[in-house]
Amino acid sequence: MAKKYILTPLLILYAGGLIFTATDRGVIPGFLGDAHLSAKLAMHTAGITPGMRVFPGPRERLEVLLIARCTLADGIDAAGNKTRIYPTEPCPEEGFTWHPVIYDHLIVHWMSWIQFGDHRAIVDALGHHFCGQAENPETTHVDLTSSLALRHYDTGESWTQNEPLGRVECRR
Amino acid sequence: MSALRERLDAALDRAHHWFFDPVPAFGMLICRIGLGGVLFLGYLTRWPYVEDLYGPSGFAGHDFIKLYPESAHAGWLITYPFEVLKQVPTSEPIWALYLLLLTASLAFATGVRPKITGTIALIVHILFVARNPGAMWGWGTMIQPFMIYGICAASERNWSVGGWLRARRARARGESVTPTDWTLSAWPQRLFQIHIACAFLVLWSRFHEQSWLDGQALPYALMNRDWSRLDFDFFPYFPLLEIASRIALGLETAAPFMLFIKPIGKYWALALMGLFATLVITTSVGWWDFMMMTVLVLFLPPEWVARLPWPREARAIVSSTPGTDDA
Repeated sequence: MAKKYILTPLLILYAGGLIFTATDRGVIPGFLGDAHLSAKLAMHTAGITPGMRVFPGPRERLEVLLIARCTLADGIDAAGNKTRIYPTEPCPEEGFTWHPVIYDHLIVHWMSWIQFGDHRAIVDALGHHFCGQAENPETTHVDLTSSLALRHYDTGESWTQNEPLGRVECRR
Repeated sequence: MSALRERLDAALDRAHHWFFDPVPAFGMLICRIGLGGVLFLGYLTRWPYVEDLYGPSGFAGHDFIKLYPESAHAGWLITYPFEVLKQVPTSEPIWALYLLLLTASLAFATGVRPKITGTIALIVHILFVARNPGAMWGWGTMIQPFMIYGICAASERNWSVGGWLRARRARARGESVTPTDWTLSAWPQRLFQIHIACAFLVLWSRFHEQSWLDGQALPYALMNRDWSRLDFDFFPYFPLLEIASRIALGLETAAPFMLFIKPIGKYWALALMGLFATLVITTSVGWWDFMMMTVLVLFLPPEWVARLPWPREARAIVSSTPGTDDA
């Protein structure tokens, strides 16, 4: 009896909560919006994620394809001299020659997080990491640049575009 | 009024049977082994990078926060609870927890006190995810609720090193060994199935994304070296890949319904397994695809899963257990 009248309704309630929080906010009635967010937050806090969006594609139709993302880290000393810290090999324009190991792969991944999160904090964390990698002990700053290999979706034209990510002070 | 009450009672009765009738344990056993294995291998392959990913001097760790207090939160979309490992000033506790997680996940996978070891593995894993959520490609978050269902269903009775050792000791002492029960109460499996459907339901957000609707998203993922595993120029094959992208969109977004329709569900699950197997070969997104291939086994009919090399008495329960045909 307890299973039928107490546990079964509780399980149905949990399953309903899962389905409710898994739906997109746009498909539920507006007055449930706040409850939706609160329920999602509560579930996330308890370690229960309804689902994930893998390969979060751009909302718009693609004009330009990002083929490769290469993070450049340059150490700067007090005299203003620049020394490449990362990568040790030149960035490829098209080829697939980097992040063969998990570590490089993760750096690429962290860079891709910049588009979602707090840019400054991630750049600081990466810059601090590369400050520690610099061979020159006089390195005072690290310049981070994202080198993007791009290709036009319709024409197939390729080019490389460098985007400065920021300068990080090396604090020791 | 009483007619309504009767109907409600009948519906509750059906739900009660769906949640609590015994089902063959095969699916949840495979999930226990698969999820424990994913956690174990996922962390083992991070061995050389533990200091960089989780150490006090590593990415957004304790020392970083001291030097850059303005960047205390590394800027993830969500503020993760249980960020306690960011406060740890030395490496030793991090390594101790890392080794504990490896041991506990392996013990869970092999069935050594699986409820206890699974719980330990899950708690430590949650701490590591909160310490550096950007190191997991999403699978680290998604595995948390899956582990909860796995732990609820876990038992030393079946396919377990712990159970095997206990039975061996009992036989050595001349004691009789109780025959193994190869069924379990259905509720952890049912909640797991609903959760898998919800994971696919979340993907309905793709209907708001023009790149998915135009079939561009999958070719984009294959060409983008953030994800692509293969050194291959996919560009000339875009028209074909756009078709594949639309098929993937249909397979995944229809899954919340199709997986539960009896004649189709098992084939839908197989098709999704094929999709994830293709993604394993072509993309590199951590352990996500391995995890999904494992959990989709819950939608395969027990008589298919029973063809694996289980003990004879295990295979016999497929024909004798009620509810084996409604996976």
